[in-house]
Amino acid sequence: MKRRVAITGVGVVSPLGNDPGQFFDNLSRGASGIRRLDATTAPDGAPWTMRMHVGAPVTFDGAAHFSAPRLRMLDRVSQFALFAASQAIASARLDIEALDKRRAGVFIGTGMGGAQTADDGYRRLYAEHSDRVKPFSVLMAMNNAAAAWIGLDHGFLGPNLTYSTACSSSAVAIGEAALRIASGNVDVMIAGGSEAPLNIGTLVAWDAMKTLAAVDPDDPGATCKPFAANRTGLVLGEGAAIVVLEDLDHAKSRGATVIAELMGYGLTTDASHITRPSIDGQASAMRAALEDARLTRSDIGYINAHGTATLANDPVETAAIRQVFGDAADRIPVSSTKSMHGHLLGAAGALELVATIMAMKHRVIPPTTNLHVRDPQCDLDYVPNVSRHGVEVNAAMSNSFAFGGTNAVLICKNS
Amino acid sequence: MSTTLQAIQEILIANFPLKIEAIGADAQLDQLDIDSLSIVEVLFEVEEKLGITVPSDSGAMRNTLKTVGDLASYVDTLIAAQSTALPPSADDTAAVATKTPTAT
Repeated sequence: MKRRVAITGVGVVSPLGNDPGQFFDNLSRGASGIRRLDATTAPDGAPWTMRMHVGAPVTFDGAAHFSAPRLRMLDRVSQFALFAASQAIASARLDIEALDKRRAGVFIGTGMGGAQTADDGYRRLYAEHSDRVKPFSVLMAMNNAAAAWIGLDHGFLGPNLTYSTACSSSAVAIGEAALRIASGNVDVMIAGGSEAPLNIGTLVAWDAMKTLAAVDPDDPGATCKPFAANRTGLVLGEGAAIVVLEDLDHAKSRGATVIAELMGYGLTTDASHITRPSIDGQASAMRAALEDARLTRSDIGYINAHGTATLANDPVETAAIRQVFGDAADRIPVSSTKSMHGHLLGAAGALELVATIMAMKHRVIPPTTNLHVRDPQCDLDYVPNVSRHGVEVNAAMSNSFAFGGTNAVLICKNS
Repeated sequence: MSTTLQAIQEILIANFPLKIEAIGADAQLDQLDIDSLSIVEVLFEVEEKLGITVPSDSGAMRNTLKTVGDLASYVDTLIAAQSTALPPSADDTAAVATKTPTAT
């Protein structure tokens, strides 16, 4: 008999605010965290001279959270992760000294890891013609840095793993952490994702793929238009979202507040194309999550879509939802909050799971903004432009689909 | 007082939450929370500031450094070795003369 998994803490660093309440308040208002990136808003302060210059940056002062010697060892991706983890642990009221630390671990997802550090190093070498890079470059850029620092700071002695499956990384990290708890291997997991890709090298690489949206000249904040006929691509964002997952009995025995229950995790692989999404692959992950949760399609009251606003994803995801939910698909609100916070890549799944949980808690379905021109291939109820209040949702689904074909779907239930 | 010691003290104050009173030549690095990684960071700054190169195979030597004074002596050794290793040009001689400490 597998154990049940409670979500008892949440932490957020996002383009829409650096705590879960502010983040969801902004989502509910349909606010946009997307804006032009220039020399004053670029996280690394570098001049932006490229054609594409829109993103969803986080307002975050590392010096306010970390001492100077510490900060010099932390890439932006680890700073986000550490602050989000601290929030999550504080909100779970986790007494770490009282834990069996060997049965507590950290699973983090990230697509690009310390991309900023790598970019800084290359700039020094190739642009500034230096033969030296910062002494901590390796420690800052390594993909497992964020997870390692969280484990170090809180003394967790159980498994510490980093998942990198592109845009589904953090959904995978959370799902795999839940499996560890369900199996009885651990009692408490810090799980989620972090990403900081708004540096020139990473942005140019994404631009080269022709998947980034063209800037909306009238309103740069409205550049990301999921499910709309005039969508042109995704907008990169940065941030972190971390949850505390806990064996339900463990949470109850210490009197913790259970925010939600993680009911199901579906993980499948397309094995068909390195980027092109697959209707069958996405649908099979949704089905797998429903089976794992022992829920039926009629139990799902909200779907937070992957909804990247790329030409390829949105009709495929729509068709996959229809394949799984049949006629029920027409009564389920489906929204892409990426329209507001952008695509956080390896942190997207975790941030959108938080949005999903908050939607249930607050009975507010966040909208898909910038959806004014309907695409006949995208014909679900996307909660266009304005949030829907007073909606009772018992169980909800969060979709994350990745380059590489890794499809991860999480289902949670309101508590 | 060694100018190398002063240079290292300046680097420590600029990069760590330390005050000059706490970082005399006898101050123990471990008690200042200057661990082996922090020493690497200090040496990186020393390279920039004093124009010397710390050998990349110097790990064993670094582990013997216990005090701020040890660090200064080690850097002095490097300065001495590197100022005699290569016959400097006239311009370099002037540069080294302003950087190289004469007393230890």
